[in-house]
Amino acid sequence: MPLITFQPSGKKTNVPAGTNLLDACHRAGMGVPASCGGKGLCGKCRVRIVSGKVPPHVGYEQALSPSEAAAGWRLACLVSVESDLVVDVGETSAIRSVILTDFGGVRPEPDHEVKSVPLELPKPSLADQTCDIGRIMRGLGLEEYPRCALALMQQLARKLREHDFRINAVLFGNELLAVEKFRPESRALGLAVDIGTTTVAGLLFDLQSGQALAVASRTNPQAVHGDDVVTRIDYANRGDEARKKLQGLIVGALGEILAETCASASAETGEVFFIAVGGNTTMHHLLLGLEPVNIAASPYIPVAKRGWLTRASHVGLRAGEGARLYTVPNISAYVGGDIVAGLLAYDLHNCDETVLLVDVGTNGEIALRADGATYACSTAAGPAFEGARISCGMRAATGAISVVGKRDGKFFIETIDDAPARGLCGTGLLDAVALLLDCGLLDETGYLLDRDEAKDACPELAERIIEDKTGTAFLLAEKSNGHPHLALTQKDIREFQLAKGAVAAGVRVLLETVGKNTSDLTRVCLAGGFGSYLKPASALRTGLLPQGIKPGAVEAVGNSALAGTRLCLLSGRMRDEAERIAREVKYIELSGQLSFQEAFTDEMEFPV
Amino acid sequence: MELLNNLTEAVKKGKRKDAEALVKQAVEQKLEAGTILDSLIAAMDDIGRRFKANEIFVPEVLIAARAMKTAMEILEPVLVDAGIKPEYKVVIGTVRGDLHDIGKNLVAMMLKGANFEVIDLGTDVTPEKFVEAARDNGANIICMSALLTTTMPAMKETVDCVKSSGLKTLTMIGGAPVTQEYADEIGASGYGADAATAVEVARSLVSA
Ligand code: B12
Ligand code: FES
Repeated sequence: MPLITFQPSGKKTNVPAGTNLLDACHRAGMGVPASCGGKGLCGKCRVRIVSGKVPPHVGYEQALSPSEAAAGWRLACLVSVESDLVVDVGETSAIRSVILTDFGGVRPEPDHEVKSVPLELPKPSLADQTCDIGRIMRGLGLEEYPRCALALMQQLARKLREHDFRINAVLFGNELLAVEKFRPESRALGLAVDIGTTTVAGLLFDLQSGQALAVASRTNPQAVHGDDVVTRIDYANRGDEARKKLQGLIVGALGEILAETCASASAETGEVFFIAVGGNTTMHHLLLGLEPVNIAASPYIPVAKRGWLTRASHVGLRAGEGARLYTVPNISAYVGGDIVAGLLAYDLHNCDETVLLVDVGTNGEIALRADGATYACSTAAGPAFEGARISCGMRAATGAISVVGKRDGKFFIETIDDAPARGLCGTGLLDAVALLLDCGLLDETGYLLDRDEAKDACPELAERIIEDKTGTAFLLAEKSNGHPHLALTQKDIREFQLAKGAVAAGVRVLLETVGKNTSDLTRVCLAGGFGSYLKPASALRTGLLPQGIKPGAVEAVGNSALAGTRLCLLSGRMRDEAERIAREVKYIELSGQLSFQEAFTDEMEFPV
Repeated sequence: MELLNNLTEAVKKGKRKDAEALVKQAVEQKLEAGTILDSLIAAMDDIGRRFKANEIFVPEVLIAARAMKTAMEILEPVLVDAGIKPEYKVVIGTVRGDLHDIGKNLVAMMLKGANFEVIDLGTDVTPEKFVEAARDNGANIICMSALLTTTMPAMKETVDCVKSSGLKTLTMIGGAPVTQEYADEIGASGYGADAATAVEVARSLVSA
């Protein structure tokens, strides 16, 4: 069996001959990106073969220049491992994520529905022949039996006696979840998780005090099967095994987050009895193991929209005994629990202003509150803001160019963690386009001036206009130790136009639906990682947000999906409120709407 | 011919009013209908070339196509009188389950601009409907668009459906996630990466 050595970690692994190199990387835990899910279409799975034999690069030609291919670069998904290899997969770095624990917005009021009650019960005797569950009922001061799963009832006799009638009864409302060893100091903990298509973030809470104890995040491990939800659905459609695999991956990540947060709060995972999860509809389906197939094609039918309360163990997640798992309700196939949670977190659903909530992920989800009603739509911006489809694009991780600008007439970039530039992430892309527009190097149709034209328009930056393999491009960072130069090409700008045009058009159509103008908006809340880090001025300059929005109205609200999910974790009233939101929001389907097409075409151009 | 050059320029720039006036003038001056048509086709050829090179983008193509359409509305009766009609016919549509149609519309416009007769079946078109329309209209090519990885299999079904129907109609596919490899795999006759290539491929398919 061929042996693969991964650099720089030095990790080694044996794989059967004929194994796909990308699969081998992922099995060995190397976070090689794979936007297209290994189809050889995205060029993101670049790795360098340091030694060993691989066939020449064939397929997707623009992904690698001949000189790169000669230097050993390959697309991992196109390589079949036949003999020993040493492969450089680069630094795999954590993705920058927004996990702010001091959320603004609605303050949580824990309703202590989940609790662990220490009980020292009187032992049975001939004078007190009360049944076992009746004894617990009395101890809890209840009039009726607590609800109790048969499985727990079957163990009750043994458990009570094993612990000598000194127990902790774990309750969820009026349901008995578990009977545990007596621990008067025992806490009931809960975990709120936002499952993003790209990033998963979790917050551990003390359900009694409502205090946040610890936080952790992971890259969504399903990303190796595609960046966007449709590619993942496509993978899940291969069959039960594939669907279970995706479920297993996300459950694994939840388990890791659970373990990490518990460890940093010096708690045990066994103390966690409630887990609330928010995410888009596809993430929700994949977690619960529901078939997502009908979400992908018209007429887009999810299996279930309501919030769901089940057992964590039913999805294979190990936490406290009998722990419950709750999923935030969804609005439609493409407007999910993340938006419901966002509306909940900032109480937008009840406000009297004209407010917009925009989560600019791959699936640009937009909600509008106006005249006492709430509307939502999804615009499928595409993954450009997450680095895919952009020639030098990458996610917001170490080494990503995240800020681009001009200071004292000089061009500058900033990278995440101040590391050497490795690629361009969404916020950097937005800044770069805004800069090019400001300097007149890019006209309103999106045409990038060539070197000669640039000399007249902006002499200072004309030098940075180069001829790349695909045509005119703007140089962002020079070539440096083994990494090719980074440039924004004309084609990248076209991709950007599609993505930002779709978001802006979605906003406009929503506003038109209720007869409002951009100038009527008093608040524009930008949610999610990209939304929280982007420069509002660049969003307005490039027309990612349509013209007419007041600069002062734009604010970043951070991870609103997590903020809202934590409210659902801490209070049943909030879960009811989430349910009401999901029911009442009017979903606007953009497919087949002529007004969307018109707005989209308009918004592809840049503001003058 | 200056008038026709101006007409070509007007369409290229998407100046609908100018294009309209210039065609009217050309018709009044009794210029040969075929020559007028050629000047319109030249405009769309240029648009296609620059679109392919990323010099211009979707909005400009749409604007040019709109000017082209206005001009054609005036020219069409004249062409009919002169007995000039498109030599080849295509049916086009977005496949079942898919409602993305901006790319498909662009391809349709460019094909019209290249003097194909285009029958647009819209979106969410089933394999059966493609075949039926191709048979009823005697189309040379069935053009299919898909923008979702999950709706691409409907292209294969349509290709299979054409084959089992016994029709000799050619098939051409396209859309962002579609590749030449996929076209080969499902046995489609042709693939086009963009609207300009679609025209080239369509031309070579019918002349082969
Ligand atoms: C606009 C858009 C929409 C609009 C569609 C409006 C309309 N009337 O078409 C709306 C908002 C309604 C929409 C909805 C959805 N969309 Co959408 N959408 C897009 C977007 C932003 C642009 C597509 C586009 O119009 N491109 C411009 C045209 C000109 O390019 P084109 O279609 O590729 O066509 C060119 C070539 O491909 C070729 N071509 C096209 N057809 C043909 C045919 C032939 C025969 C030939 C030869 C050539 C050819 O020529 C064309 C011109 O050069 C893309 C993302 C992106 N940035 O690309 C997502 C995208 C295509 N959508 C996506 C998704 C998931 C959806 C939804 C399912 C979910 C959603 N709401 O988010 C829905 C469902 C719609 C459905 N079932 O069809 C995904 C698909 C992901 C995947 N892996 O499959 C994308 C890629 C975004 C993403 N990554 O999330 N979408
Ligand atoms: S090209 Fe290899 S994963 Fe996309």
